Amino acid sequence: MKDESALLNAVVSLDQDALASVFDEYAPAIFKYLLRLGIGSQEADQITGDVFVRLLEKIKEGKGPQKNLRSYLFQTAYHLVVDQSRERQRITTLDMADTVVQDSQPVSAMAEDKLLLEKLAKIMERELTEEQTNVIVLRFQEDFSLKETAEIVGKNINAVKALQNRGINKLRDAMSRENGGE
Amino acid sequence: MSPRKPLNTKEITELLSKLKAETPDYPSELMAAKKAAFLKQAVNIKIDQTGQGGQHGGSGGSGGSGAVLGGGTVPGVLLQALIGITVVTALLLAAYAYRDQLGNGSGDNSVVVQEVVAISSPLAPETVTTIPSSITPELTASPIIGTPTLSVLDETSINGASVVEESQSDNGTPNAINTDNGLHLGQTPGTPAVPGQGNSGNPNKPDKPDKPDKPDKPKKK
Repeated sequence: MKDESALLNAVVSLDQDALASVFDEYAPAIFKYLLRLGIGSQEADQITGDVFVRLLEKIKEGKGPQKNLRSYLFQTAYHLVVDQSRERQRITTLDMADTVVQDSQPVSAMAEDKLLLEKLAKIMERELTEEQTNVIVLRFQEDFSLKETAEIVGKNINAVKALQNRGINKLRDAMSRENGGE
Repeated sequence: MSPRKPLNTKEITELLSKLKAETPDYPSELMAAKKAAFLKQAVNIKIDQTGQGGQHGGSGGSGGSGAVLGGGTVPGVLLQALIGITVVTALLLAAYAYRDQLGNGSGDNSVVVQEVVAISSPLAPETVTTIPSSITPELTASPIIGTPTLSVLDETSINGASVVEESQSDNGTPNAINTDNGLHLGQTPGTPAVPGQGNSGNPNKPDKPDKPDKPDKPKKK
Protein backbone atom coordinates (compact mmCIF):
# COMPACT_ATOMS: atom_id res chain seq x y z
CA MET A 1 0.00 0.00 0.00
CA LYS A 2 2.87 2.28 0.81
CA ASP A 3 4.48 1.43 -2.49
CA GLU A 4 1.25 2.29 -4.28
CA SER A 5 1.13 5.67 -2.55
CA ALA A 6 4.76 6.39 -3.37
CA LEU A 7 4.19 5.36 -6.96
CA LEU A 8 1.17 7.65 -7.20
CA ASN A 9 3.19 10.56 -5.89
CA ALA A 10 5.93 9.88 -8.39
CA VAL A 11 3.43 9.61 -11.23
CA VAL A 12 1.75 12.87 -10.29
CA SER A 13 5.18 14.50 -10.17
CA LEU A 14 5.70 13.20 -13.74
CA ASP A 15 8.72 11.20 -12.74
CA GLN A 16 9.94 9.48 -15.90
CA ASP A 17 10.91 6.22 -14.22
CA ALA A 18 7.60 5.96 -12.42
CA LEU A 19 5.65 6.69 -15.58
CA ALA A 20 7.62 4.09 -17.53
CA SER A 21 7.04 1.56 -14.79
CA VAL A 22 3.32 2.26 -14.74
CA PHE A 23 3.09 1.94 -18.50
CA ASP A 24 4.95 -1.37 -18.53
CA GLU A 25 2.74 -2.77 -15.84
CA TYR A 26 -0.70 -1.61 -16.91
CA ALA A 27 -0.62 -1.08 -20.65
CA PRO A 28 -0.63 -4.83 -21.47
CA ALA A 29 -3.43 -5.43 -18.96
CA ILE A 30 -5.55 -2.69 -20.45
CA PHE A 31 -4.86 -3.94 -23.94
CA LYS A 32 -6.03 -7.42 -22.97
CA TYR A 33 -9.07 -6.04 -21.18
CA LEU A 34 -10.07 -4.27 -24.36
CA LEU A 35 -9.60 -7.41 -26.40
CA ARG A 36 -11.79 -9.31 -23.94
CA LEU A 37 -14.51 -6.76 -24.47
CA GLY A 38 -14.49 -7.71 -28.13
CA ILE A 39 -12.51 -4.76 -29.40
CA GLY A 40 -10.08 -5.28 -32.27
CA SER A 41 -6.36 -5.22 -31.64
CA GLN A 42 -5.78 -2.03 -33.64
CA GLU A 43 -8.50 -0.17 -31.81
CA ALA A 44 -7.36 -1.64 -28.52
CA ASP A 45 -3.88 -0.31 -29.17
CA GLN A 46 -5.30 3.12 -29.90
CA ILE A 47 -7.46 3.17 -26.80
CA THR A 48 -4.59 1.97 -24.64
CA GLY A 49 -2.51 4.91 -25.81
CA ASP A 50 -5.44 7.24 -25.17
CA VAL A 51 -5.77 5.96 -21.62
CA PHE A 52 -2.25 7.09 -20.78
CA VAL A 53 -2.62 10.37 -22.62
CA ARG A 54 -5.74 11.01 -20.56
CA LEU A 55 -3.74 10.23 -17.43
CA LEU A 56 -1.21 12.94 -18.29
CA GLU A 57 -3.96 15.43 -19.08
CA LYS A 58 -5.59 14.82 -15.73
CA ILE A 59 -2.29 15.19 -13.92
CA LYS A 60 -1.75 18.47 -15.74
CA GLU A 61 -5.17 19.67 -14.57
CA GLY A 62 -4.39 18.64 -11.02
CA LYS A 63 -7.02 15.91 -11.17
CA GLY A 64 -4.80 12.89 -11.26
CA PRO A 65 -5.47 9.62 -9.49
CA GLN A 66 -5.70 9.85 -5.73
CA LYS A 67 -5.62 6.13 -5.03
CA ASN A 68 -5.68 2.77 -6.78
CA LEU A 69 -3.98 3.62 -10.03
CA ARG A 70 -5.02 0.33 -11.59
CA SER A 71 -8.73 1.01 -11.06
CA TYR A 72 -8.24 4.54 -12.31
CA LEU A 73 -6.67 3.38 -15.57
CA PHE A 74 -9.30 0.70 -16.18
CA GLN A 75 -12.01 3.21 -15.44
CA THR A 76 -10.53 5.55 -18.04
CA ALA A 77 -10.40 2.69 -20.53
CA TYR A 78 -14.00 1.81 -19.77
CA HIS A 79 -15.15 5.40 -20.37
CA LEU A 80 -13.25 5.58 -23.64
CA VAL A 81 -14.87 2.35 -24.80
CA VAL A 82 -18.32 3.59 -23.85
CA ASP A 83 -17.71 6.90 -25.61
CA GLN A 84 -16.57 5.18 -28.76
CA SER A 85 -19.45 2.75 -28.79
CA ARG A 86 -21.85 5.64 -28.46
CA GLU A 87 -20.27 7.49 -31.33
CA ARG A 88 -20.45 4.75 -33.84
CA GLN A 89 -21.59 1.24 -34.12
CA ARG A 90 -18.71 -0.89 -33.31
CA ILE A 91 -17.70 -3.39 -35.93
CA THR A 92 -16.34 -6.29 -34.09
CA THR A 93 -13.16 -7.29 -35.74
CA LEU A 94 -12.12 -9.68 -33.13
CA ASP A 95 -13.61 -13.05 -32.86
CA MET A 96 -12.45 -14.14 -29.49
CA ALA A 97 -12.97 -17.76 -30.30
CA ASP A 98 -10.70 -17.39 -33.31
CA THR A 99 -8.18 -15.67 -31.12
CA VAL A 100 -8.28 -18.54 -28.73
CA VAL A 101 -7.74 -21.04 -31.48
CA GLN A 102 -5.27 -19.18 -33.67
CA ASP A 103 -3.15 -16.98 -31.47
CA SER A 104 -2.39 -19.02 -28.48
CA GLN A 105 -3.45 -22.53 -28.15
CA PRO A 106 -2.51 -23.55 -24.65
CA VAL A 107 -0.74 -26.82 -24.64
CA SER A 108 -2.12 -27.69 -21.24
CA ALA A 109 -5.73 -27.16 -22.20
CA MET A 110 -7.67 -30.18 -23.14
CA ALA A 111 -9.49 -30.29 -26.44
CA GLU A 112 -12.83 -30.30 -24.74
CA ASP A 113 -11.98 -27.24 -22.70
CA LYS A 114 -10.87 -25.49 -25.84
CA LEU A 115 -14.21 -26.19 -27.39
CA LEU A 116 -15.97 -24.87 -24.32
CA LEU A 117 -13.87 -21.72 -24.30
CA GLU A 118 -14.67 -21.06 -27.92
CA LYS A 119 -18.35 -21.43 -27.21
CA LEU A 120 -18.15 -19.26 -24.14
CA ALA A 121 -16.38 -16.47 -26.01
CA LYS A 122 -18.97 -16.53 -28.78
CA ILE A 123 -21.85 -16.53 -26.31
CA MET A 124 -20.38 -13.61 -24.40
CA GLU A 125 -20.16 -11.63 -27.55
CA ARG A 126 -23.60 -12.60 -28.72
CA GLU A 127 -25.74 -12.75 -25.61
CA LEU A 128 -24.44 -10.27 -23.09
CA THR A 129 -25.07 -6.58 -23.04
CA GLU A 130 -22.15 -4.19 -23.02
CA GLU A 131 -22.52 -3.52 -19.31
CA GLN A 132 -22.80 -7.20 -18.46
CA THR A 133 -19.70 -7.99 -20.52
CA ASN A 134 -17.79 -5.23 -18.78
CA VAL A 135 -18.76 -6.42 -15.32
CA ILE A 136 -18.03 -10.07 -16.13
CA VAL A 137 -14.64 -9.26 -17.62
CA LEU A 138 -13.67 -6.95 -14.78
CA ARG A 139 -14.81 -9.36 -12.10
CA PHE A 140 -13.65 -12.73 -13.45
CA GLN A 141 -10.87 -11.92 -15.86
CA GLU A 142 -9.31 -8.78 -14.43
CA ASP A 143 -9.99 -9.87 -10.85
CA PHE A 144 -11.39 -6.59 -9.61
CA SER A 145 -13.48 -6.63 -6.46
CA LEU A 146 -17.14 -5.69 -6.47
CA LYS A 147 -16.29 -2.27 -5.06
CA GLU A 148 -13.58 -1.61 -7.60
CA THR A 149 -15.80 -2.78 -10.43
CA ALA A 150 -18.55 -0.49 -9.19
CA GLU A 151 -16.14 2.44 -9.23
CA ILE A 152 -14.92 1.64 -12.72
CA VAL A 153 -18.34 1.34 -14.32
CA GLY A 154 -19.81 4.13 -12.22
CA LYS A 155 -22.53 2.13 -10.53
CA ASN A 156 -23.27 1.04 -7.01
CA ILE A 157 -22.33 -2.38 -5.75
CA ASN A 158 -25.87 -3.78 -5.89
CA ALA A 159 -26.22 -2.79 -9.51
CA VAL A 160 -22.91 -4.47 -10.28
CA LYS A 161 -24.07 -7.61 -8.49
CA ALA A 162 -27.28 -7.64 -10.51
CA LEU A 163 -25.39 -7.18 -13.78
CA GLN A 164 -22.98 -9.93 -12.82
CA ASN A 165 -25.72 -12.40 -11.90
CA ARG A 166 -27.77 -11.74 -15.00
CA GLY A 167 -24.66 -12.13 -17.13
CA ILE A 168 -23.64 -15.40 -15.52
CA ASN A 169 -27.18 -16.78 -15.84
CA LYS A 170 -27.28 -15.87 -19.50
CA LEU A 171 -23.96 -17.57 -20.11
CA ARG A 172 -25.02 -20.65 -18.21
CA ASP A 173 -28.33 -20.96 -20.05
CA ALA A 174 -26.73 -20.38 -23.41
CA MET A 175 -23.96 -22.88 -22.73
CA SER A 176 -26.57 -25.41 -21.68
CA ARG A 177 -28.48 -24.84 -24.89
CA GLU A 178 -25.32 -25.16 -26.97
CA ASN A 179 -24.39 -28.34 -25.24
CA GLY A 180 -27.88 -29.69 -25.75
CA GLY A 181 -28.46 -30.03 -22.08
CA GLU A 182 -31.93 -28.48 -22.26
CA MET B 1 -20.26 -36.38 -28.71
CA SER B 2 -22.77 -37.00 -25.97
CA PRO B 3 -24.73 -34.08 -24.57
CA ARG B 4 -23.18 -32.67 -21.44
CA LYS B 5 -24.98 -31.82 -18.29
CA PRO B 6 -25.81 -28.12 -17.77
CA LEU B 7 -22.98 -26.06 -16.35
CA ASN B 8 -23.42 -24.46 -12.99
CA THR B 9 -22.33 -20.97 -12.00
CA LYS B 10 -19.02 -22.09 -10.56
CA GLU B 11 -18.07 -23.88 -13.76
CA ILE B 12 -18.95 -20.82 -15.78
CA THR B 13 -16.71 -18.62 -13.65
CA GLU B 14 -13.90 -21.12 -13.93
CA LEU B 15 -14.24 -21.11 -17.69
CA LEU B 16 -14.14 -17.34 -17.65
CA SER B 17 -10.90 -17.45 -15.68
CA LYS B 18 -9.44 -19.89 -18.16
CA LEU B 19 -10.52 -17.66 -21.02
CA LYS B 20 -8.42 -14.93 -19.44
CA ALA B 21 -5.24 -16.81 -20.17
CA GLU B 22 -6.13 -17.17 -23.81
CA THR B 23 -6.04 -13.48 -24.61
CA PRO B 24 -3.06 -12.51 -26.75
CA ASP B 25 -0.41 -10.20 -25.41
CA TYR B 26 0.17 -6.59 -26.36
CA PRO B 27 2.47 -6.66 -29.41
CA SER B 28 5.85 -5.39 -28.25
CA GLU B 29 6.41 -3.02 -31.19
CA LEU B 30 3.04 -1.34 -30.69
CA MET B 31 3.63 -1.08 -26.99
CA ALA B 32 7.10 0.41 -27.42
CA ALA B 33 5.77 3.08 -29.78
CA LYS B 34 2.98 4.01 -27.41
CA LYS B 35 5.35 4.09 -24.47
CA ALA B 36 7.77 6.42 -26.26
CA ALA B 37 4.95 8.80 -27.18
CA PHE B 38 3.64 8.69 -23.63
CA LEU B 39 6.99 9.53 -22.05
CA LYS B 40 7.65 12.27 -24.58
CA GLN B 41 4.35 13.91 -23.77
CA ALA B 42 5.10 13.67 -20.08
CA VAL B 43 8.40 15.47 -20.62
CA ASN B 44 6.64 18.23 -22.56
CA ILE B 45 4.08 18.71 -19.83
CA LYS B 46 6.80 18.88 -17.22
CA ILE B 47 8.69 21.47 -19.27
CA ASP B 48 5.50 23.51 -19.55
CA GLN B 49 4.97 23.35 -15.82
CA THR B 50 8.50 24.40 -14.98
CA GLY B 51 8.27 27.13 -17.61
CA GLN B 52 5.41 28.66 -15.70
CA GLY B 53 7.74 29.57 -12.87
CA GLY B 54 7.04 26.55 -10.76
CA GLN B 55 3.52 27.58 -10.05
CA HIS B 56 2.35 24.05 -9.71
CA GLY B 57 2.49 22.59 -6.33
CA GLY B 58 1.33 19.27 -5.11
CA SER B 59 4.73 18.04 -4.10
CA GLY B 60 5.88 17.64 -0.58
CA GLY B 61 4.49 14.18 -0.20
CA SER B 62 1.06 15.23 0.91
CA GLY B 63 -0.84 13.13 -1.54
CA GLY B 64 0.23 14.89 -4.68
CA SER B 65 -2.82 16.94 -5.34
CA GLY B 66 -1.09 18.98 -8.00
CA ALA B 67 -3.04 22.07 -7.05
CA VAL B 68 -1.91 25.40 -8.31
CA LEU B 69 -0.57 27.67 -5.65
CA GLY B 70 -2.77 30.63 -5.02
CA GLY B 71 -5.63 28.92 -6.75
CA GLY B 72 -6.02 25.47 -5.40
CA THR B 73 -4.77 25.78 -1.85
CA VAL B 74 -7.04 26.96 0.90
CA PRO B 75 -4.91 30.00 1.91
CA GLY B 76 -4.64 30.96 -1.74
CA VAL B 77 -8.39 30.87 -2.22
CA LEU B 78 -8.93 32.89 0.93
CA LEU B 79 -6.34 35.43 -0.17
CA GLN B 80 -7.97 35.81 -3.57
CA ALA B 81 -11.38 36.24 -1.97
CA LEU B 82 -10.04 38.87 0.43
CA ILE B 83 -8.41 40.84 -2.38
CA GLY B 84 -11.58 40.69 -4.41
CA ILE B 85 -13.74 41.93 -1.55
CA THR B 86 -11.29 44.77 -0.84
CA VAL B 87 -11.29 45.94 -4.43
CA VAL B 88 -15.07 45.86 -4.69
CA THR B 89 -15.44 47.77 -1.41
CA ALA B 90 -12.99 50.45 -2.53
CA LEU B 91 -14.84 50.89 -5.79
CA LEU B 92 -18.18 51.22 -4.01
CA LEU B 93 -16.77 53.81 -1.58
CA ALA B 94 -15.29 55.83 -4.41
CA ALA B 95 -18.56 55.72 -6.30
CA TYR B 96 -20.42 56.92 -3.19
CA ALA B 97 -17.98 59.75 -2.54
CA TYR B 98 -18.16 61.03 -6.09
CA ARG B 99 -21.81 60.32 -6.67
CA ASP B 100 -22.60 63.98 -7.46
CA GLN B 101 -19.93 64.24 -10.09
CA LEU B 102 -20.98 60.96 -11.52
CA GLY B 103 -24.58 62.15 -11.65
CA ASN B 104 -23.74 65.45 -13.35
CA GLY B 105 -21.34 63.95 -15.70
CA SER B 106 -23.86 61.49 -16.90
CA GLY B 107 -26.53 64.20 -17.57
CA ASP B 108 -24.49 66.35 -19.93
CA ASN B 109 -26.83 66.03 -22.85
CA SER B 110 -27.27 69.76 -23.65
CA VAL B 111 -27.79 70.56 -27.27
CA VAL B 112 -25.31 72.93 -28.77
CA VAL B 113 -27.19 75.57 -30.73
CA GLN B 114 -25.19 77.18 -33.39
CA GLU B 115 -25.68 80.90 -33.69
CA VAL B 116 -26.65 81.88 -37.17
CA VAL B 117 -25.36 85.23 -38.34
CA ALA B 118 -26.97 86.63 -41.43
CA ILE B 119 -25.90 89.67 -43.29
CA SER B 120 -29.03 91.50 -44.35
CA SER B 121 -27.36 93.90 -46.63
CA PRO B 122 -23.92 94.56 -47.77
CA LEU B 123 -24.18 98.06 -46.44
CA ALA B 124 -24.24 97.44 -42.81
CA PRO B 125 -23.53 94.03 -41.56
CA GLU B 126 -25.94 93.22 -38.84
CA THR B 127 -26.09 90.47 -36.44
CA VAL B 128 -29.36 88.63 -36.54
CA THR B 129 -30.30 87.39 -33.20
CA THR B 130 -33.15 85.16 -32.48
CA ILE B 131 -36.09 86.85 -30.92
CA PRO B 132 -37.56 84.90 -28.11
CA SER B 133 -40.89 83.47 -29.04
CA SER B 134 -42.49 85.02 -25.97
CA ILE B 135 -41.98 88.51 -27.36
CA THR B 136 -44.43 89.62 -29.98
CA PRO B 137 -42.71 91.59 -32.64
CA GLU B 138 -44.09 95.08 -32.84
CA LEU B 139 -44.04 96.71 -36.14
CA THR B 140 -43.22 100.34 -36.26
CA ALA B 141 -43.13 102.45 -39.28
CA SER B 142 -41.54 105.71 -39.73
CA PRO B 143 -44.06 108.33 -40.62
CA ILE B 144 -43.77 109.74 -44.03
CA ILE B 145 -44.90 113.22 -43.94
CA GLY B 146 -45.45 115.26 -46.88
CA THR B 147 -44.80 114.47 -50.42
CA PRO B 148 -41.95 112.25 -50.94
CA THR B 149 -39.16 114.02 -52.48
CA LEU B 150 -36.79 112.57 -54.82
CA SER B 151 -33.38 112.91 -53.58
CA VAL B 152 -30.57 111.41 -55.34
CA LEU B 153 -27.59 110.72 -53.45
CA ASP B 154 -24.48 109.72 -54.95
CA GLU B 155 -22.87 106.79 -53.58
CA THR B 156 -21.47 108.17 -50.49
CA SER B 157 -19.43 106.35 -48.15
CA ILE B 158 -20.71 106.74 -44.68
CA ASN B 159 -18.87 104.91 -42.08
CA GLY B 160 -17.57 102.58 -44.66
CA ALA B 161 -21.04 101.65 -45.90
CA SER B 162 -22.27 102.57 -49.31
CA VAL B 163 -25.64 104.21 -49.65
CA VAL B 164 -27.68 103.48 -52.67
CA GLU B 165 -29.67 106.28 -54.17
CA GLU B 166 -33.33 106.35 -53.54
CA SER B 167 -35.66 105.90 -56.39
CA GLN B 168 -39.26 106.69 -56.97
CA SER B 169 -41.77 104.74 -58.84
CA ASP B 170 -43.77 106.02 -61.72
CA ASN B 171 -46.85 106.54 -59.66
CA GLY B 172 -45.09 108.73 -57.27
CA THR B 173 -44.84 106.28 -54.44
CA PRO B 174 -41.48 105.69 -53.10
CA ASN B 175 -40.08 102.30 -53.63
CA ALA B 176 -39.43 100.70 -50.39
CA ILE B 177 -35.98 99.66 -50.91
CA ASN B 178 -34.89 97.95 -47.85
CA THR B 179 -32.04 100.15 -47.07
CA ASP B 180 -33.32 101.20 -43.73
CA ASN B 181 -30.46 100.67 -41.51
CA GLY B 182 -31.91 102.91 -38.86
CA LEU B 183 -29.81 105.88 -39.73
CA HIS B 184 -32.46 107.71 -41.78
CA LEU B 185 -29.82 109.76 -43.35
CA GLY B 186 -31.03 112.66 -45.39
CA GLN B 187 -34.57 112.47 -44.09
CA THR B 188 -36.40 115.16 -42.33
CA PRO B 189 -37.17 114.17 -38.81
CA GLY B 190 -40.83 113.60 -38.19
CA THR B 191 -42.91 116.19 -36.43
CA PRO B 192 -44.37 115.34 -33.12
CA ALA B 193 -47.81 113.88 -33.21
CA VAL B 194 -50.56 116.36 -33.02
CA PRO B 195 -54.08 115.36 -32.20
CA GLY B 196 -56.37 115.60 -35.14
CA GLN B 197 -53.73 115.06 -37.69
CA GLY B 198 -54.26 111.46 -38.38
CA ASN B 199 -52.57 109.84 -35.53
CA SER B 200 -55.40 110.32 -33.06
CA GLY B 201 -53.20 112.09 -30.71
CA ASN B 202 -51.24 109.01 -29.99
CA PRO B 203 -47.68 109.76 -30.70
CA ASN B 204 -46.86 106.09 -30.74
CA LYS B 205 -49.54 105.23 -33.22
CA PRO B 206 -48.26 105.43 -36.68
CA ASP B 207 -49.95 107.90 -38.90
CA LYS B 208 -51.75 106.78 -41.91
CA PRO B 209 -49.74 107.31 -44.93
CA ASP B 210 -50.88 110.18 -47.00
CA LYS B 211 -52.79 109.33 -50.02
CA PRO B 212 -51.10 110.22 -53.18
CA ASP B 213 -52.30 113.30 -54.78
CA LYS B 214 -55.12 112.76 -57.10
CA PRO B 215 -54.82 114.31 -60.43
CA ASP B 216 -56.74 117.48 -60.63
CA LYS B 217 -60.11 117.12 -62.13
CA PRO B 218 -60.88 119.55 -64.81
CA LYS B 219 -63.18 122.13 -63.52
CA LYS B 220 -66.64 122.18 -64.95
CA LYS B 221 -67.34 125.22 -66.58
